[in-house]
Amino acid sequence: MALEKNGPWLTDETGASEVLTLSVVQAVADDGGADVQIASAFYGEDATGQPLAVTVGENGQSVTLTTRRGVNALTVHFVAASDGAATAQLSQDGSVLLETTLDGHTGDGVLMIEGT
Amino acid sequence: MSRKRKTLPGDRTLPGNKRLSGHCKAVTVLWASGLTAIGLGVLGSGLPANAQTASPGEQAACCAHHVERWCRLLALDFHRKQMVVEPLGDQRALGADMAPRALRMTMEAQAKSALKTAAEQAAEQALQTISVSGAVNQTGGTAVTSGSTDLAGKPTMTDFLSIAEATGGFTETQNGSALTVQADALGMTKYLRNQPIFARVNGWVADWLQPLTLTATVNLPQSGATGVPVTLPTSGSAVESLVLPSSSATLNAVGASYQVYRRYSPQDKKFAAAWRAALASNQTALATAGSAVARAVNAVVAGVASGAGRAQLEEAAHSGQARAVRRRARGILRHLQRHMNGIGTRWRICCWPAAAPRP
Repeated sequence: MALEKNGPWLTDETGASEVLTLSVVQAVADDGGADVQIASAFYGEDATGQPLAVTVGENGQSVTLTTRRGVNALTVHFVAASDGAATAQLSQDGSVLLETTLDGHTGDGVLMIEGT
Repeated sequence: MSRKRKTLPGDRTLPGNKRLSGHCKAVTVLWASGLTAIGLGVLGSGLPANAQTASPGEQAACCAHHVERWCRLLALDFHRKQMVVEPLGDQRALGADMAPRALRMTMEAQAKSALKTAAEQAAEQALQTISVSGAVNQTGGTAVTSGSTDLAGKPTMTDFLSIAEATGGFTETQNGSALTVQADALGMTKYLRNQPIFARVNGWVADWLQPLTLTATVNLPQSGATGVPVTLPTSGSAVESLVLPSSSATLNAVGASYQVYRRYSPQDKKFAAAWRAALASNQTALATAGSAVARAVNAVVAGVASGAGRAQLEEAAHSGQARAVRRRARGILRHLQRHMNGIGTRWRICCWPAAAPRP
């Protein structure tokens, strides 16, 4: 089951495993999109309030998460070899779910996901 | 477009104390389209007790157009200066009824937009392929003079230029009458190799090409005239003509630049290797930094995802949905209005009442 846009956040069935892939739609012309990577990603938090890390795919080109019940935030930290501005997207099944701008080698993006 | 005649029971009597004149033999429902059907569903839900009666002329026009039921609503609209949709009363029910249709139409529009984008990309890709590899003969006449050619006569050349510019092969800037075309060597290489603009070009040559930039500045033609004083000879033949050079485009400057010092060049294999090594060795620090950001985000989300914050967010989203429903309803009413053109322009279906409660 894919993440669905529903009001202010995405909704999904609790317990479903979702994979979001990274793509670069705008970058300094010669930097190459492959240089943008996902450095770390966190989704929800544990009982002590610590963010829970999610699996980052090979070369930082995807994240895999298991939907948790209720509204939780997926926070993704991007890095880029180039210090120029670049626009990165996280997509699932061709649907763009998150778009963020990197500048100075780094950028962050947040998705709110409600598990039902 | 198809028509279906249908007699609706009780359609001749208005709710309340009024009755339409019985000129029409039957009430015709015009099933012109899905929108019309929706509109009938919207408008046929009920009328208030103090509904007005259409005039005989209006009634005759309605009957002529087989829209007797609409006449009652339009008569009400005209006489009371109110909106056609207002008598429905239960706008929440209207919104609930219209929301699925509005959402479906929105989804269809998004799908069409995605298809259009994909088609444009495919077309660009095809043109790029053709312009690079296609052997297309020059169309039209031959070049006017030896050593020249006609750009308009080479269709793929214009494709080449336009697509090359669209895909970042080169850029152009205009300053007054000067037009500067700038081409990046690596960008042109990507274009000629039929690669996406953001693709990484592997190989040592990419690192050498990346800093090379070529520019050409052209002075564009300028309109204008220059006065030249003429003294007529006192003897001999008269001056028949003066030849003045006409304004034309001229190549002003050609330049090339090569950036020697490059602080961060992802095309440099050494830099790329060093960057990846740094990422690997600092993974813990990156995770710590990311965790700190996530903790701050979670604190915010916890506030807005529960209690009043959640209600406000959902209300905001619902308002957006309701606006879409209202826009759709207005579109339906305009559609109905077009069908009623023969009745009279004074019956205007206006707009959703501004003060109406939100569905």
